[in-house]
Amino acid sequence: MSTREQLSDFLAGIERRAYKHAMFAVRDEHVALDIVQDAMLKLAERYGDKPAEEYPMLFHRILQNTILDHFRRQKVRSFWLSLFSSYTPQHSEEEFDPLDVLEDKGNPSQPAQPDAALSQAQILAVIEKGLSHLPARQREAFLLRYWEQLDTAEAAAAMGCSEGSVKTHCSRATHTLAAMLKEKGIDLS
Amino acid sequence: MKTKINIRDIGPLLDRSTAQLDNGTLDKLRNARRTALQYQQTKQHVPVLAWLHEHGLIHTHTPGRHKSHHWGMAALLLVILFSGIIYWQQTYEHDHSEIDIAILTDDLPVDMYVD
Repeated sequence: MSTREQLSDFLAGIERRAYKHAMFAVRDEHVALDIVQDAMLKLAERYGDKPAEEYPMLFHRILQNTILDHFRRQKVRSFWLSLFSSYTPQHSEEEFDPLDVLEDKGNPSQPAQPDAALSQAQILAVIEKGLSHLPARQREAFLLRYWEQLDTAEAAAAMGCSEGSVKTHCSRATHTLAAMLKEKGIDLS
Repeated sequence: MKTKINIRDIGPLLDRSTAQLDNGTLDKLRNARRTALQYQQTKQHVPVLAWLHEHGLIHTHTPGRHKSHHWGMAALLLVILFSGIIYWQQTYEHDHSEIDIAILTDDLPVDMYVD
């Protein structure tokens, strides 16, 4: 049975990464903070007496379930919103202007091209954007393996799937991310 | 010029990004942690229920906020136990007094001598 200090240390050590996990998934700071808080509460309330070694797997499972709950609620909300908004006039022609995305190669104020050398901050921004565009399960597997440093069995336990699934998700995530990064001039090896 | 990174470098890069979180976010995360710690579940074994739990007679999942339920159940069990003992004692004494009276009045049934 773990003590209050052990739980406190665990949460202090994981809170920033948990926030980033949630941010990659929901892309909204306030929602991400709410999700992390919910996950922390659930861990403390329901599993606070578990051994400290079980916390990482339990917490990641809870975090991912809380993220899923958020999307489920959002889906229901958007269903009702779309139902009521179907009677309002649409102005889709105002939403997209081709001039906004037209590339002007002769203009020096344009963003750096892929072949230009990238700073670390730029690389990080590209990686974070790539991660947030990965399918949820692929991102989860990738982050658990390469960021949280869980082995395949631990990641499988945290995700509630087989080790084979973790390997598959991880491999697909790596390929997708490598392709995304390549477009920005970054080779992932 | 192409930039090359190893897949194992992504973890440290992401760690660096967490170090750049603004103070407002960090404060909120700290508050969230403190709130969560207030609700940490800690098992308190109520002696009467511990035996029942060990023998699988009751299965309980108690969040921290409902520990008082355990004590309530324990108190209820104790009351039932004491009531049973008192009832049994009274019945036993009542039987004895009836036999005493029967002996004194010579109304003791023949069955009483069979054993």
